[in-house]
Amino acid sequence: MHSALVRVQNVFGFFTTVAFTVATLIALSTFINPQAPSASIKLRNVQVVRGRPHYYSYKKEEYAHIKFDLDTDLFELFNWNTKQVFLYIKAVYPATKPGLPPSEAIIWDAILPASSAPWHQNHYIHPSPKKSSSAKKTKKAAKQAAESPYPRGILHLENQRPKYQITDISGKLQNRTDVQLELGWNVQPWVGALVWTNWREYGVWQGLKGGKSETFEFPAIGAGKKLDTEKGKEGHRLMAGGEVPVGGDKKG
Amino acid sequence: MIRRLLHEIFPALWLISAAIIGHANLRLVTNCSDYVMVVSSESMEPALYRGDLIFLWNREEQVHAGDIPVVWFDGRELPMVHRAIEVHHEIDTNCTHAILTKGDNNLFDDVVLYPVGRNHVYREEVKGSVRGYVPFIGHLILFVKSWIVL
Repeated sequence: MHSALVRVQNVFGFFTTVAFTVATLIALSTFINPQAPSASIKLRNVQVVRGRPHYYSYKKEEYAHIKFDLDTDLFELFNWNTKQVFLYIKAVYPATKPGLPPSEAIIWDAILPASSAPWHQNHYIHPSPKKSSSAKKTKKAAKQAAESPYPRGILHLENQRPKYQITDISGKLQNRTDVQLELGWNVQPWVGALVWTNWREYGVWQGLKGGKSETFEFPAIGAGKKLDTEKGKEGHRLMAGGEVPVGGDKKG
Repeated sequence: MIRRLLHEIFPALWLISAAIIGHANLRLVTNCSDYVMVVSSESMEPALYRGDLIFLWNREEQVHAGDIPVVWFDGRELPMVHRAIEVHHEIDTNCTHAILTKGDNNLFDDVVLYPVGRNHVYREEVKGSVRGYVPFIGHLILFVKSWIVL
């Protein structure tokens, strides 16, 4: 009864029970944190161009380039159990056939870390407001540029370029009506359930106020001026120890 | 003698059958045949690191942009856990909707990883979406897996 092995087993069993209980309590504590998020999105410019937007496009298709303004206050989404918030804006437009759900395509995304999250190259760095871009190349200015000028969850973006140019599966996008930009988030906890955007109220969680733009239409195909996209900071990884793309090893 | 033996092995058998029934119930409730997985690639960093344990749910018929579906093509040894960035319903084939995925840690979308000639994933190839997770624990399972292979 008192051998070393039994003692190790007992300690390990106790550790597992405690760890499981603590993890459950932390996961549940997320839901009792009050939050009242708000956001506003405005369309700035939309162009539809015919070309080959993807690296795999073998034929020309119509793609949309959407610029927008974004103001968010998502500070309260960050509680002690939040590791990061994956924020995204998607363009939602109805299907041409009635009765089908609308199509969705993400045009921009950002990974907002909590202060407790370890640094990662993919973390979003908010661009500095235009007033302070007087290019003082001091160490302090460089350090400030590496940190967001606003508290976490608060974004003020003007005339933001999209990260992705979107296509429809049919290859046709021009002249589609009732398009709307919609904000969405995915809160990644340290442990527990992942949550997405809540539009309705759940207990102490208020629904998102705003977060949808006015409806607009995709215009007819134009010449396409200034179609630069925002370059994300994502690295490129193939799945470690798993799939390689058909056709051999591709890198970058 | 036999009675004593049975008396001793019964608790173990009880535990094993409870685990089997619990596993079968969880498969029914989540509608996934593999409702727990270990993340084995870095393509979803910093949301999901290698060694995290993820819990899946497959009772939501429609996948939305922003979800994290687990895509398992026929004939592939391993599934892919990436983010859905586009969802389209107007498609020619018999499936309900088509999804384009991209890993958070990848610069480009996943079309290069799909079977030849495919630009989208069908809903039927999505085995579930990530709904919960526990960090780090999967390292133990990955370690045991690599140990077994050796």
